[in-house]
Amino acid sequence: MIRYLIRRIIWAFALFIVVTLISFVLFFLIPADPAKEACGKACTAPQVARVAHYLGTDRPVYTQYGKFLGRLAPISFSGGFHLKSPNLGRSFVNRRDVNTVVGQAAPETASLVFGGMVLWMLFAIPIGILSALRPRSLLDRASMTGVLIGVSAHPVWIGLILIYVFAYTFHLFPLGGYANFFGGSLTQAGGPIEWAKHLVLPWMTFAFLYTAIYVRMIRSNVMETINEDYVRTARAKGAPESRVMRSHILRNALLPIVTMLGMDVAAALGGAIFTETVFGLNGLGYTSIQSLQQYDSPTVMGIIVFATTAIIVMNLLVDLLYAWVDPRIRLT
Amino acid sequence: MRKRLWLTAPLSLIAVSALAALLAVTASAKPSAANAGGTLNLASAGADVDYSDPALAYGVLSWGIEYETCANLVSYPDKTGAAGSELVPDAAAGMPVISNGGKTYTFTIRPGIRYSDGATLKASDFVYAINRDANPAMQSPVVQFIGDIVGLNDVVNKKAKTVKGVTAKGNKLTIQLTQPDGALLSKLAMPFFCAVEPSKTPINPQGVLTLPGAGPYYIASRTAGKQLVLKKNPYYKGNRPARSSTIVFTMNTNQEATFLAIKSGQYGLDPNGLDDPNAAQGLAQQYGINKSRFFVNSLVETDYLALNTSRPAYASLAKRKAANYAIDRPALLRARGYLGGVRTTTLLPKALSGGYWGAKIFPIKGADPAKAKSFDPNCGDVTVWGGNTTFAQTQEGIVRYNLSQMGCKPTVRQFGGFAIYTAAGVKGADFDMMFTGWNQDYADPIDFYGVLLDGRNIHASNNNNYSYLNSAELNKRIDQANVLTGAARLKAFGKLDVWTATQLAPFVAIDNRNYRQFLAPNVAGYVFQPAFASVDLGALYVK
Amino acid sequence: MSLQEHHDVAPLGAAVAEAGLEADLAAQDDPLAVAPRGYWEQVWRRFKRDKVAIGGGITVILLFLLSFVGAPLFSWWLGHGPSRDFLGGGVTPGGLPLGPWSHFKDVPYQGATGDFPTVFFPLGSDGAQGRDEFLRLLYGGQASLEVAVGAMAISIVLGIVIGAIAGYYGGWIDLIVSRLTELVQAFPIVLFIIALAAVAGPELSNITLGFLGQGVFTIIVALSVFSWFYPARIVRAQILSLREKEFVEAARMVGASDARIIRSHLVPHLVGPMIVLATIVVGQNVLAEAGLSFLGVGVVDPTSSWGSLLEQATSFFLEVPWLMIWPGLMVLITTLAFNLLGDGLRDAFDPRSAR
Repeated sequence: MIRYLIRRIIWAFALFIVVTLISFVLFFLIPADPAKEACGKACTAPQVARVAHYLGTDRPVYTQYGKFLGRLAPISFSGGFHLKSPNLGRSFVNRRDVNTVVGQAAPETASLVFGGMVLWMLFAIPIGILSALRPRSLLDRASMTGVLIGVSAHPVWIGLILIYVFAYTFHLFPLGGYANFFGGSLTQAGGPIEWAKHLVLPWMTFAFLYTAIYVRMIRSNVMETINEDYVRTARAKGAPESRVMRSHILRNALLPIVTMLGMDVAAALGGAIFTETVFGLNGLGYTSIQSLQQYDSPTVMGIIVFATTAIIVMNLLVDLLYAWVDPRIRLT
Repeated sequence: MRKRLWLTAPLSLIAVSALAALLAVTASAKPSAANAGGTLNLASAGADVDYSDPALAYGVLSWGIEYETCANLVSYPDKTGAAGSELVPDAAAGMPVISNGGKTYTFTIRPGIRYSDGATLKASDFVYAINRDANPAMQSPVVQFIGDIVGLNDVVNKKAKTVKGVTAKGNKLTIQLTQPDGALLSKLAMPFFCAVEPSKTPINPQGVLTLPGAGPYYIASRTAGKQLVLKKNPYYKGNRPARSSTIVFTMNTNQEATFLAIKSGQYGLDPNGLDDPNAAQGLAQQYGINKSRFFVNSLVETDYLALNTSRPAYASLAKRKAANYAIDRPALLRARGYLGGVRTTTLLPKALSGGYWGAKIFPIKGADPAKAKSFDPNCGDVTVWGGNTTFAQTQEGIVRYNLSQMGCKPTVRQFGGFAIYTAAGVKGADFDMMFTGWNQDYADPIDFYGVLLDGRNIHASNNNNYSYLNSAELNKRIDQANVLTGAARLKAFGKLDVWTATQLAPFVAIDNRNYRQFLAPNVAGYVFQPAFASVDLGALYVK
Repeated sequence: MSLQEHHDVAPLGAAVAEAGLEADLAAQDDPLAVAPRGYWEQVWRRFKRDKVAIGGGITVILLFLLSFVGAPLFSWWLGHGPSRDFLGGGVTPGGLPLGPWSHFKDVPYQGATGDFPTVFFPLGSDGAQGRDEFLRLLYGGQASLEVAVGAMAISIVLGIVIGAIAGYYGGWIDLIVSRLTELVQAFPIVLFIIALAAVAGPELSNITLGFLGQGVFTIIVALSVFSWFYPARIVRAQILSLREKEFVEAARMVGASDARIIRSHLVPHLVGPMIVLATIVVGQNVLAEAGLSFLGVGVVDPTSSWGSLLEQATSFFLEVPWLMIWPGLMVLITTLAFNLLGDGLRDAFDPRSAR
């Protein structure tokens, strides 16, 4: 177990290095000069060169990447070995610490993703189970039709229609934006209710696709499990139906769902881009798109680092959790 | 049957709680109204100020704020139109004494000006501000404008610690130049030259978030990306308006939501301008123009197509004239929405043209492909560079159509963001025509002609002269106009502008953009400040 | 059983491919070995019975016809192309697009007097350029389908080749491929595809190969880079299970070359699963294209796609809301049709998966 753990962690590190390196080189190849933009529009060539040196963009890519890793590493050797906090650098556009930018955007994305997850699981679990227990029933047919529409409609389109109908026409919800969960600002009311009110439509948009995917998955998992030998055995031994359901069918059918959920959430933390863009939520996805348009590579890299870490850590956790819960899995 | 029973329990629970949540959510607080009692709530859709530090701020939104919080040596009055574009003394008691053949400027600082923390403004604060601007650690964008101040570049290049040419003695401030600069006063009105209190504004490459101001307001708090608050400077004794006691900017709001929130009075306005350009016509019909809630003012800005004179497609004057006849200016302008700007055929905006603006050198009602063809009967391949936004693509489509109408074979290449300027700034870049525009940094025609068309500034890369025009005759005329000051200066440049458009035609001028503004029903006192291209924040108030 | 095998991060948040599809396919016996001739007949017979899938298939064919044959026909009938600007008549004086079913005079500029031909826009105009929304929608189908099919073809071919090599040879080749797959999964894929398209776009978008729309190639490349690993995994699992089967052993014993064994004994078993996967991937790619073009890193004007039309419509969100309905509807219909067809095909190829 320990050996497996160590190997997985080393591998996770290697993945992290390769992903960030590839991303870094990609941004290095951008044909736009951030120094020109930072210098000012009337700058002459020598002035731009000076700003490029200040930003560090005049150095070769390996130097820049090395500096990037050096800032990011939690340890430092300059002035003796010591611990430090990881630093993602500064934005080219407004010199803000990328740590702060990511820290400000992450709660909005997390609110969207975790709230959306609760919403889609609330719908997907009962619908998935019920339609598996009653295949070809009216509920099953309706939910399968819903699933097909769910995986076929574009989230952007769903979002736009929801805004037009529920926010613009009927004024039930705000058109977009975000309200803080804890306390408001001078101009905007905050608190849980405002927060939820701003997020209802984004949650619905975000959950639309995933509800469909999870209904289908839960349904097929439950249907598979029902026919397993151990379920039949349990029934034959005269176990009460509710117990068979709970400890044999659901336990085994929903376990893989939990692992998938972990990975979907991890992926979404870096990529709820469409929902965020449509609703003007300044989360990680929307921020990365805006920064990409301004060629603000430190900020985009910061978000990539955050998202990659989320994915790798979540994968690791899910694997370990799964191995712990299900002893049949060999740790290789 | 029991399995169904226990499954229905969570289902109904979910249904009930979802319904309850929905009810709770819809029944909760109505949108908060703009606070009465002197607080003005503004929203900035999709944008924050770049910096709140005057040494670094370099954007229209941030300059509008600096204008309210700064005491400069000279500044512009809180007035609209021509009156708002005329320099007046601000922290200086009067206009400077210019000596030494235009190379020495001596200002006398008005006594009794105080910062919002009670400290008195001193002449040495300006010395500190300029030294701070030049400090290599600050990397201020101002250095592109004021290389002519004696010793400034030495500080920028780390050869000296202080700027030798800026000194203070008592209430006298002296600025020395290496060569005369007719635009120096306009430059000094930029917020980079805002007086700052040395003890409260340290050298900080990220810029300070809040600082005491000697203007009618000061920046009381700022959460980057979220909010900025202006408060009235309690020690301000000048005559500039400060009608609201507090001005709150909510940053990075959603665009459509902001438009509707202004409509309903939740926010006073968006200082970036009208959030839904497509609504302009409806607003004009409903509220009239410059009457109650919908305002339109011309910006000191020109959108144009640069014609690359260094490549065969536009090497000859006849071909460049042909392009000027072929382009459909009203259609290009319409892409900006109703009242998006005014058509023009010259480079200088009205405010800088000394009365020469409005010369209809080329057709402004629409394209004239027949006339274009008569100038250039065998037009060949034309490479057009432009942006990749929806708006840019619309304009590129129009130009593509116009050029093919006169027989050219246009190809459009699209760039994201500012990549186009990096690419086109390299001498020898293979474009023939390029979408670009220029708005003033400081209110002087040399900020257009010196930067955009003076051929002596062409380098290997990072050029702004996208026409790559180096005309000895034009350079000579620029120099002649540049030594003049005041009204004569504008007149000379206006004349030069008409001459350039007629005799050289290195550009296809399209329009001067408008600043359209939509006000909440409960807000009044709208004044557009033309030199800062911004709504005058101090004049606004909640009714 | 490794856990990653179960999961797939779909590009751009689009539909995740069938859950459990892989398990079904891997567990499949060798139907070719049992009844080599009757297999395709059986598949066809089962498919014919599935009315919904037939409907999906017909819709798919109609969509292709409409985009590639219908678009030029309608353009000829209406008398103008999808990129023809009507700067004078095709826009309201306020710069807004015309409404559906509009007839107008083709004036050179607004307010021009004289006798001009009348133009008809069935769905109104697309924006300030005054182009025909209906034609742009039809021609947009070309770009969207080109992207979807092109990216699918590249990723399936790459996937088959890589998966087959990994599965057949095993050992260190397999290890490299598996590690590469894990690497791809560690990327924040959506973000990275967008970044890739934004960075490589200016270089790639002018590659048209003589028939693609501008920008189509960029999206094909960006989408393919991250979507080969799913088919590769299916193929690898399939081959791993087949490798040990008797008929492969037998072929090897009579001295057949590796290439021959792969070609004539292993590849035929993959046709079914790959056809099913390809169908579903095309549907996902339609969604992905719409997403990329919506964010402005997709097709380049004057090429239209459903994503770019949706993006254009959002700037008239409050004034001309119907404009956003059409492209979204087309995406929905297309993806739905491909999904229905894919589901039907899967049931036909593997009756035990039928529900």
